[in-house]
Amino acid sequence: MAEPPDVLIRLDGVGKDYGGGVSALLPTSLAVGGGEFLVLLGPSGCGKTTLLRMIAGLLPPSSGGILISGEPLWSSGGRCRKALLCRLGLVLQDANLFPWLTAEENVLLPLELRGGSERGRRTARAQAMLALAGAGDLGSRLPHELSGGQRQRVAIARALSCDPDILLMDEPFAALDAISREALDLELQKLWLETGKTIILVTHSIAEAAFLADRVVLFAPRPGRIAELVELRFPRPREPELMFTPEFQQVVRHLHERMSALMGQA
Amino acid sequence: MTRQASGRPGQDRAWRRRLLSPWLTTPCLLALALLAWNGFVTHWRVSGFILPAPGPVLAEWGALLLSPGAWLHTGLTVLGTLAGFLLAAGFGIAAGILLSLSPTLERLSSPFIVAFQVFPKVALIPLFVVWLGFGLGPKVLTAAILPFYPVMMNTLLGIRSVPEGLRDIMASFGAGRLPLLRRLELPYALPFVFAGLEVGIVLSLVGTVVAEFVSGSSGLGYLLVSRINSFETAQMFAIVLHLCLVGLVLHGAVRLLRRRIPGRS
Ligand SMILES: Nc1ncnc2c1ncn2[C@@H]1O[C@H](COP(=O)(O)OP(=O)(O)O)[C@@H](O)[C@H]1O
Ligand SMILES: [Mg+2]
Repeated sequence: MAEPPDVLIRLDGVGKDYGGGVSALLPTSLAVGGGEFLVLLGPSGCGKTTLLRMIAGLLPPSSGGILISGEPLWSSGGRCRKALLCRLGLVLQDANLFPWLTAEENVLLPLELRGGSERGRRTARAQAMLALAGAGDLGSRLPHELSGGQRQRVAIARALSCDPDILLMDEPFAALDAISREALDLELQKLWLETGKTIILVTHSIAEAAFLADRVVLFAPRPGRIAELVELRFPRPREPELMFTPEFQQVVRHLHERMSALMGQA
Repeated sequence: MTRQASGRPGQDRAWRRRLLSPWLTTPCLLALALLAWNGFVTHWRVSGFILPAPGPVLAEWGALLLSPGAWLHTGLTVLGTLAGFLLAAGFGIAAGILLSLSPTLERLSSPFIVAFQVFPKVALIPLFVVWLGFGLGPKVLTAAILPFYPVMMNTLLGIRSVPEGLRDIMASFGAGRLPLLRRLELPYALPFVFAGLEVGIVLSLVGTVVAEFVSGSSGLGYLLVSRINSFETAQMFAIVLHLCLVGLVLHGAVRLLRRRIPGRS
């Protein structure tokens, strides 16, 4: 498959070995284009989280490297280049909001830690991000007063607060009910279209992957590796009706058959 | 008919809860205990030296509450307790943070910490008297040493309990060690620390009173021993009740602070 025209993230033989016999992720190479919506799909245990954590600067690779706009994220000593972290926003399956901070304070936290702008501008920025994530009226609530979906909106606002150009999401909506999940998928697409961020999203839902992705990276387990890249050319913005079209169903069937085959091998 | 009755069980339960509220039950149970105590003493004709009846004890306590001298002793005991408690809080929290920073340090020190914890520290009070004389010194030191361990361990436990996900999020902000401590670990550990402090304030009071038994020329512990020595058992019981009051007030003050921690219900 052809490389995207403007490569933003380059995985250069990046692999991870936790030291338990089987590699969590075999050396993997992949180029992610600027503004691309990339979805990592696969059954659990095939190294998706491992890869995302390495791209997020949380886990040093055992081999290979990661380049962001040509700059290596990991130095040879396994240390992460902190200067590049401000280009990455992270959203995990659990919202991981700080329970003693209100939604707005949660979104403010990374801004305060990074310093720089003055207080009033930070607050304005936090409120704008909450609004962008569809949580504009929740700023004064504490996390335990929010629903799962609302918490995840706040987590997205927090990830966006320092204006990263890359959003990394590890099964962000997996714990939500089907209805909330569909709503958040739609809003995520809208947010992505409006902001032009590059998104790498991990999921084990085939329908979610096919609905959101420009490209789906299908992973295989034991050892974790890329099995297939599938490019999806459905026009944007995609509407929920897309899921009932034969073209969409065909993609879903293909991914499903491949995934079943991969599970059967393992 | 069944439909009408269906509202009843809920109502009954609400009533029961109101009847069983501690504001009602505690005074009732106390009154019952006093009656039993009184009955026991009069029925078995127990000597006032061994166990005085509640009447004289309460009378002595009333006298104590009205006596400025007793309040001076109370003040000195509270002073020793608070000074020791603040020291224990400061050093205990600092030590807990230090141990959380370095697993090596924790491994190296843990045999000593365990030994120190199982050792009956009040056995050191005579030594403290030799070192620090008969004033506030030995009291404060004892009041500081007893709660040190629970405060330290609770701080450590609290920091250890920070979920990995929250640590990941802080790391993704590029937060350094100090912001990690200040913005995540300490706030997260705060309820744990306060649980330690709640236990700690009581241990501080215990330490102070025991030190006063041994070394004092002042304080409620000293007063108590001097009353026993002069066979004024009712007065001694009154001091015990008074100490109970002091303990309740100190403990309540720490609990009140704990309630003010934001964001946790
Ligand atoms: N911290 C770890 N230590 C050891 N093994 C791990 C660790 N994290 C993940 N693994 C292993 O690596 C493999 C890939 O895990 P993961 O990246 O979490 O997969 P996925 O996110 O696709 O479910 C699994 O076999 C898992 O058991
Ligand atoms: Mg995972």
